[in-house]
Amino acid sequence: MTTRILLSYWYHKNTDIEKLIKDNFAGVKPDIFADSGGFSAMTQGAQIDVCKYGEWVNKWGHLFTAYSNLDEIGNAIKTLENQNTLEQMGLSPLPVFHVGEDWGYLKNYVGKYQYIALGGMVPYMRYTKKIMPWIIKAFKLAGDKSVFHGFGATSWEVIKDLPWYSVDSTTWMAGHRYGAQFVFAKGRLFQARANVLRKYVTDLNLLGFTLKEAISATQGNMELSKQIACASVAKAEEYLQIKNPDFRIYMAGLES
Amino acid sequence: MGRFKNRIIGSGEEPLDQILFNPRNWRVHPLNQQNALKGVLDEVGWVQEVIVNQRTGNLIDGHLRCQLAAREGAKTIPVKYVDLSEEEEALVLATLDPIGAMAATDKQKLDELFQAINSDNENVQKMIAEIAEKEGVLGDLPTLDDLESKFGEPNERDFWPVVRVQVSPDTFAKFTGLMASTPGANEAEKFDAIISGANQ
Repeated sequence: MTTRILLSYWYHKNTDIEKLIKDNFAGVKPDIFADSGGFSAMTQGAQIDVCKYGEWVNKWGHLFTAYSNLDEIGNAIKTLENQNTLEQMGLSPLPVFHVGEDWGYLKNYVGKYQYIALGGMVPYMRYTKKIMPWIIKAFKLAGDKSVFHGFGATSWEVIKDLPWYSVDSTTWMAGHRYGAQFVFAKGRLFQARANVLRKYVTDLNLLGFTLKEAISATQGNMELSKQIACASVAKAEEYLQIKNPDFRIYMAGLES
Repeated sequence: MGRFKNRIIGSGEEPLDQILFNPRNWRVHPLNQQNALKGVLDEVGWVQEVIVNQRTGNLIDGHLRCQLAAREGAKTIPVKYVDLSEEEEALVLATLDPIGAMAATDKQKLDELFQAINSDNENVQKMIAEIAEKEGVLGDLPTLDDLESKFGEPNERDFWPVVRVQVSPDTFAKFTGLMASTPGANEAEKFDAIISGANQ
């Protein structure tokens, strides 16, 4: 089983990535998807310099399976400018198309790139009826020319029926913050509170955990919570690969 | 056979009323299991004998098959005879099914196997659906056209930014008055007209 992680420049701009891998993955090379972490930076009142992001990718890119453009949600022009800047630096970032942007941008990307990221979906993940038509339109527009990475595509409803190439999420790691635990049970990845977890003892056992451990995870045992979430996401990936063999889920979790 | 002894001493057909159910049988058979087995027996028939320990006369494996056969009016059932001590019988009775259940699943192969099955039997279909769900084996992804029919076209307005402004009742009254008097088919057009006017 390959470990897949999402690594953000914003959190790792000064990290020795080789050492990070060595310290965390015991010699097994993880599958790394890198992004700018631009949204996180913006929420903290900072801005990322595209050239510095490009230098970081240049330095560590040999360790990444893929990396995305420095995108700016709601500003397709600036996002495209950054794409061009990074390409002029000799890089090949995935272009990013956001919810609400002019479809013309995606049409242009589809003609030029095989792997495209869809972003800006996080606020709508709970509103499947709103976001699904938008995602379906993107997939139809791409046809068989391009595949998609879904930034923050965490909703099971959103990932289970579409031919995503990859998705990522930080949410799956954050269940414990809300007194709940992310588990894969009965063919579904979802957040469950302690009283509900009792229904899924067999599924937890299949993941390698006891009910007692899962309940402890909902009560603040962060390490255990991460372990259960990782096992659940790996199982969910394996489950979805039956229908969609190339599908991969990247997990963020090396930020703290 | 290698170093394993062959404990099978024969096979044949036994009258159902001569089969002695094992007093230590610990398995219970829920309705869905009964229906599933009946479905396969209806569709295919007998492919495996029940097992009787000739030394004790006890049935070791196949209690549900005997029950279903009797319910369907059968007089006899295919039987395999073994010769075991009481202690060995207990061991086999306790472990035969659980050992089978310990097998892991190659999902790809199971999925391929399911695709090769073309049964109209409702019980068989239901059982396959249950196994598929339990083992995490699914069919193909729905087509994008199917999904589009289900979810419809995107409404771009759903993704417009939302601005929340808290104002006094007086200001709100002026705003609604202004919106009402401004030409435009909807709020967006009216607001555009107001903004354009303010910029001129």
